[in-house]
Amino acid sequence: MKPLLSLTGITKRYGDLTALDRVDLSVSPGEVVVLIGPSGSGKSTLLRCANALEVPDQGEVVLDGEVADPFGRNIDRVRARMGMVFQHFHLFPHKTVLENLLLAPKLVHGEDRTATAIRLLERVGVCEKRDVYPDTLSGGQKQRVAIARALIMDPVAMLFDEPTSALDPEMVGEVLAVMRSLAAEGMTMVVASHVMGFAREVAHRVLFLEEGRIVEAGTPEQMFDHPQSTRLKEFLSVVL
Amino acid sequence: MVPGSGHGTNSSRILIRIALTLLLAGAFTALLSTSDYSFGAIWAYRSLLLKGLLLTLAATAAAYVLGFGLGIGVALLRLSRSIVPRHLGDLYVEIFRGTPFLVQLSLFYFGIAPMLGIDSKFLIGTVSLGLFAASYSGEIIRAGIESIERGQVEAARSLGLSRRQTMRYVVLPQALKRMIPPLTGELIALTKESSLLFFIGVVELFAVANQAGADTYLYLEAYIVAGFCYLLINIPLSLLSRGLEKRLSTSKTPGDHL
Repeated sequence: MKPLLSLTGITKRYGDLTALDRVDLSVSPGEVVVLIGPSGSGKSTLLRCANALEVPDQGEVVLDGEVADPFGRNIDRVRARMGMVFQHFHLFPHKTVLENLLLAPKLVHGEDRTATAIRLLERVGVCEKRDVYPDTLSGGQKQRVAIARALIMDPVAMLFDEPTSALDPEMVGEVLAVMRSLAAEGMTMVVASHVMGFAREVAHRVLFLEEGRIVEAGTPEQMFDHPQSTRLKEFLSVVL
Repeated sequence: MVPGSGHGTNSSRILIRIALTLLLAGAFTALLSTSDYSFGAIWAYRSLLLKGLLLTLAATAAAYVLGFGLGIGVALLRLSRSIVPRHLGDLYVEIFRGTPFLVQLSLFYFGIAPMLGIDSKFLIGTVSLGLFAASYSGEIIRAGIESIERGQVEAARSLGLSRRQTMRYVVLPQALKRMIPPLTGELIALTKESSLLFFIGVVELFAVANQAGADTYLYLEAYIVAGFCYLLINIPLSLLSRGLEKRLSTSKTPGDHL
């Protein structure tokens, strides 16, 4: 199948540190890819390169046939089609929950998507909070709003950068539930996560990164039950 | 928290402040009554003083608006990604903040204004004060913009907003809120600084007081009255600033930090 999102030869250096070293990743439509690996392994950087929040030193990102050139004229349009969810939510604090959702469709497409926004807020279970400001929400609610804010742009793929790492443990479940239902609907997703249970349950493919390289890749069963490389075995023995 | 306890401390704080003010006013009156102060003669200058006060307000307001407008420009220069505009912005701030306003005013009045053929002392004084103010406003605006965390920009850009839209709809509304207290402080400073326009012959508040002193030989009385007039402008501004600061700090702005 033709990949929906493909990253080819992505290299990113910060001074002497090579954060990503010629990483290739292609994601088919409807596929859920989970990136695992120790902190600093390059998971976040890879996601950030995918929608040009970081400019890779080398390599190319193509979304649905369109090259995502960080300096190109089309980059805003490509980004609008790729939803991104951050570890620290980054909701707009000066806008209500509903306004957080409505801002981008209004500015990017000139459309008032209030009806869609309310449907999405209902879907992620925070509709009763639509007129409050984000600072009154719990972490889990904030992240669910952030997911809805990304979904309202009708993205063809979603990137999740450690979406549950900043949450209190009791709130992790509610966010994962939303992500699980997205995956079940066939959303193409790339997720950097520390939650191995989620990777095992939802991922079609798991990638293990270390020091900016993909060390091992495979289905959740292969990766968790029959890891090949010593590095992955060591990593799993620590986190599982 | 005990209901109403915040209210209680608040009103007791206000009581203490009123008591202190009365005490100071009493001490001041006592000081004045021990010697032969005579404010009667200054009273004759009330309409001139009022005119001076209005001129002070006009010059300060005009300079502030000019300074704010130019300040946006200075801030944009300093925030530029290219090195040349950034250094130009740096240079502007260093020069106008690093030299006394009196020196700038003199140079403008004796050097630049004649070259440009500007005669109006008010205009010269106000423009000069505005140029001075821009260096401070510019820094306040720049710092305000830079105080907005990177994640806000990233979230906006990741949704497809352009750089300009991100600035206009995400960064600036949040930054402006944080700029209000320092910008009010800047207005207070400018009100006081405007007394230096006296030096080039603008008949603002201090100039009138000085003249009244010279006419009547009641210099101290005249300066005391002038001082009170400045307080009359600045104390409400200061209270306003404090009120705003309090309100802004209680509504926790960034909702993104856990």
